[in-house]
Amino acid sequence: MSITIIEKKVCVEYEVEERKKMTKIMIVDDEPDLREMLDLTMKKEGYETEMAEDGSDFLEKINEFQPDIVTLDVMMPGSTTKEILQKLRRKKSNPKIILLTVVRYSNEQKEKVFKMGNVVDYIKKPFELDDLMDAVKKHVQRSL
Amino acid sequence: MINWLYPKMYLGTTRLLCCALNNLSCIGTLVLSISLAEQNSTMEENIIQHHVVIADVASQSIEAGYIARRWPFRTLEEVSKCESVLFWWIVKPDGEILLADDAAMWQKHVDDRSLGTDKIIVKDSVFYKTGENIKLIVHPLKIEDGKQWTFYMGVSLEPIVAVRNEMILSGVGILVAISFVAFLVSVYFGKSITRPISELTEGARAISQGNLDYEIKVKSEDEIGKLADVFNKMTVDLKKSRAELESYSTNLEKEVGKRTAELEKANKELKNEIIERKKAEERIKKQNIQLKKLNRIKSDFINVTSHELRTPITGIKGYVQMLLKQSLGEISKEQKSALEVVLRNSNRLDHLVQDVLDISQLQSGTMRFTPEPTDVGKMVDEAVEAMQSSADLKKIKINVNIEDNIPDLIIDKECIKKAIIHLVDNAIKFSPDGSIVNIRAKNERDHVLFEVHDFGRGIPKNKEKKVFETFYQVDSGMDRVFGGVGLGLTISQGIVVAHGGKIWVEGTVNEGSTFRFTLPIKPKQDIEGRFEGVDMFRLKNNEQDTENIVFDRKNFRM
Repeated sequence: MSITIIEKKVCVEYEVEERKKMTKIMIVDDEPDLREMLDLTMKKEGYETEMAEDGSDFLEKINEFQPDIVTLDVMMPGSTTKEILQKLRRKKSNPKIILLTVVRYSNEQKEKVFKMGNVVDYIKKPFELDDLMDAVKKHVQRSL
Repeated sequence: MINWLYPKMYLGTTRLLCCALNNLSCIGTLVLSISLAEQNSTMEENIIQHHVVIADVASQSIEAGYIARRWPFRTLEEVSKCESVLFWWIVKPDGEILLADDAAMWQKHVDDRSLGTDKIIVKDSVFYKTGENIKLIVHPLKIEDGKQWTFYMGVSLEPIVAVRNEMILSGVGILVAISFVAFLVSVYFGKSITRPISELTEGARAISQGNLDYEIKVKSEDEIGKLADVFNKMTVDLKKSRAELESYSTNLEKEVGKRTAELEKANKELKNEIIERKKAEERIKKQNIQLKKLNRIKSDFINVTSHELRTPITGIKGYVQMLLKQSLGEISKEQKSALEVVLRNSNRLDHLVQDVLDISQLQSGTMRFTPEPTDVGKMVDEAVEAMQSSADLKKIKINVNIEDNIPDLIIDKECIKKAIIHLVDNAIKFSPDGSIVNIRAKNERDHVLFEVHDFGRGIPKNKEKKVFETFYQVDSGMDRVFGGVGLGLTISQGIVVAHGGKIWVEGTVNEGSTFRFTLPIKPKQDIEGRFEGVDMFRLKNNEQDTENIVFDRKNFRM
């Protein structure tokens, strides 16, 4: 029984690894160092990545890149997250959004946020890299 | 006589006199009518008697004349001459009038039941000529044997009527006279009653209209007179009391005027004071707004700076973690330990920034709480797990003892966990290596009591309340040994108080200390209302009484 489970787990792990090669992740952050660090980390993990420095950059690049997952910083100059998500609806692309926030959301706010577009998760800044990678991995796994 | 009498008579007497007079006139009328009736009947009887005698005499003369074959014309003439005799007839037994005073009646027939009677009859009848009421005297005549002749004589009652009328007239005259006198007397007495009453009425009206100088001029000694006297006396009293009242009123007015002036003065002073106070209040408000603004600016500054500080820290930590994972290439042992130092210090810096941010948010009331039903046991376990590595470094054992009967609390789990972490961190920091830290939670009816007990160096009694102050360290010299800047306990206090609990510490120097805090099982306020933030300045002002900090709404910024 336990052997089967382990085998299954290994199997899933393998599939996730395979999947990573096909998964496209877009990193939207106005902090270049942070953006590049995330990009490097993602690439090392085996994902295909693209970077955007703000909302408009992100919306410009999205049609071309067609990401599966987007890590979106909520505090950026220019448009607000809400505006970005509203504009995203008009695009053909339909990626999963992981928000990176500084504030902790109340239950009410969480509900609001999850109603906006395709928000699937949020990670509170400052985050441990492992936490972010786990979250991304979770959603890759989920889309299997 | 009455005029002379009346001033001494009481009303009762007057009334009696009037009644007596009335009764007297009534009795007079009665007596008069009785005597009139009596006289009338006596007179009638006398007249009839008198005429019966005349008829008797005439009959005897006729009887004698018949025998002598010579009618007694002289007697009959005398009879005719009598004023009251209206007519006479001598009637034969067959009813034929043989002889009458009036020749026109001769040989006429009489149809009468009394015809041929043998005794004298007197009856009412009417005079055949005028129809007036008369008395008819029927007298038998003994002229022929066996055959009865009758003498009829009509007697007029005119004289009686005349006399009666005269008597009635005189009687009525007397009655009228008596009645008139009675009327006069009544009018006089009536006036003697009504005049003083009118006088009194007039007086009462005058007095009611305020003319207190009016004197009622009634001199009689009867009840009205007495009433008038009482009235006059009352008027005098009234006048006197009115004068007193007026003088009192004048005094009162003066007094009121004086007091009003005083009051106005006081009022003016009060108004000035109010204006002054309002100005002061205005100033304080402005200052307060300014202060709040400053506080807000400070908080914003800290918020932004913290955010700005944390972003590079995230970058540093991220790269260090990547390096440590060797995903950017292999590193040597020395490099690894150096990177671990970098990571540890980055974490410290990160925590410090987080603490400053927390303090800032608690102070400005911008801390957002997310209350939800929370399993206390799980929450404490999570807190302990977070602190486990720190404890392991000092080989400190953390004992957890949570009672089973603790219900889920409606709290912000992350915040309370943070408060516990700060207390545990504090305990670990001041505990000697290899010692024990005990964490307990007990259900105490309306609240849950949390305890974090260590065997550290303890806290002196006089500093038990100060440890919750911002940046306070029991012994500044120990800072370098124990690390930290003394924000943790202040944050714990802020979070606990915001949840409606209280926090305090007890301990003995060199034996250890116990931090305790409570959380209400059933929060009194609405959850939203409870977590609007706590004013840390106010908490600081309460330093004398930190032990008794009990949550109350005033502590919240609305």
